[in-house]
This record gives sequence, C-alpha cells and structure tokens, in this order.
Amino acid sequence: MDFQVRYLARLRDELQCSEERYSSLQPCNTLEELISELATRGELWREALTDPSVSVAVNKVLVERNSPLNSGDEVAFLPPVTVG
Amino acid sequence: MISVQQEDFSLSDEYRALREDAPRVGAIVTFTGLVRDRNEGAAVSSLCLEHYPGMTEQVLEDLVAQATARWDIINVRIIHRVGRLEPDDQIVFVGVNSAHRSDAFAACEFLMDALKTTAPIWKQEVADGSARWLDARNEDSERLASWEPELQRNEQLQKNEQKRQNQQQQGGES
Repeated sequence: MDFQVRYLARLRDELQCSEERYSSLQPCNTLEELISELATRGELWREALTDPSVSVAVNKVLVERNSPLNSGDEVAFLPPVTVG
Repeated sequence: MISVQQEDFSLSDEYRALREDAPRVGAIVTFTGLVRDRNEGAAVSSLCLEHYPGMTEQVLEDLVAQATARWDIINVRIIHRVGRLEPDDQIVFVGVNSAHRSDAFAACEFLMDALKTTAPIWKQEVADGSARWLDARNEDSERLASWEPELQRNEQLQKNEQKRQNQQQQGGES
C-alpha cells in the first residue's frame, strides 16, 4: 500500500523529513499499523510518532489512531499547534 | 472569508467588508493579534509561522460553521498570516458582524479561542539569537474548554425545543 506521509513543523526538524511517498512492507489497514511500521526505523521515529501529544490527520482530517487507512491516503503527523 | 496568507492585511478594508452587509448589521466586533517583542522573558526578534495548507482552511471553515450555527451572526472574516513576522506585525484577524453585539462578541471570542487550539499552524520563535518551536499552552486549551458548558447547554436547549415541537405535533394529531 502506498501513502503520502507528511511531518509538520517540529517533527519535520526532528525526523529530517518533510514529506515522503511510503510503500508499506505489509498491508497497513489501520493508522496504528502504519505507525508501527514507520517506528521500526529507529528510536527517534518511534518516540516521535507514538508521542500522545502528536495528532494525526488522514486526508487533512484529524482522526484517531485506530482509524482505517486506504492506499493513496495522505497521512500527516502534527505536533501540538501554537498559533495566534 | 477565510485567508491564510503571507501578506499583511488592512483593518480598514476588513471593517469596510463587514459593513457591506448593512443595514442588517447592528454590530461589528473585530480582534487583531500582534507579534509581541517578549515571550516568557526573552526578547523576540522574529517569528516564523508555518501551516498545513488545505487542512488549515478546512479547520477554519468548520469553526465558522460552528459559530454560525450557535450564534445569530451574519458574516465572518478570518485572516491568519504565515511566514516570517517581526514584533509589532499583525498576525491574525477575526471579524464578525451581527444584528446585535452580544452574538458578535461571543462568536469572535469563541473563534479566536478555538482557532488557537485547533488550526494546524505552528510558531517558531527566534529569541536571544536562537530558534525554537513554541510549546502549546495549557491556558489556550482551558479557554476553549470554557466554551463547552455553554455549547452543551445550547445543544440541550435545541433538543428541548425539538422535544417540545414533537409533543405539540403529537398533541395536535390526537
């Protein structure tokens, strides 16, 4: 399954990656499965993506971590917002 | 009108646009946020704001829909700037017009509180020569949460009204 994955703001700096086309090794039918796969890249990735303060948007809508995924979805990891 | 933009904005242009709905308009409430020169004791030399294009606009549209459903308002204008900003620069604008002031005041304050905790926009601050991402403030979440009891109360009032109408209908049929 292919996903467009984005890392915003602080996460982009920490992971040294703003956006990537990710082809999953195993089928990722839920967000949790995709996060688990990305977390195998190392401790830095695991900590950043499993941080409960980090929100996740699928196709630009905030979702829970047990939400279903479809191939082609845009998945974005968002640190807590600091705006206004 | 919702805009996420790098350019500055003109308060008089925004005010004029909100007046275009006259003579229905009896009140215009506007809020403008500026970049402060100090944050947590450190001198701020500049800010860099980034957002998630596409999602920010959707979130703001949703907040305007919530405000329009809850208060008797006519029009809303929201502008949020992104990119590099310096102290004294305008950063955010929320303007609301309505027939009466109480709705415009409440909607404007709600929109600003909700925007601060839900719009995907992040500030990186350059202070005392070093850049750092700012942390979210609990105070902002608490301010948004303070609207919840009122929102729940409004929802309850709507449910009660629906119930009353249903009862009236049933009464009419029997």
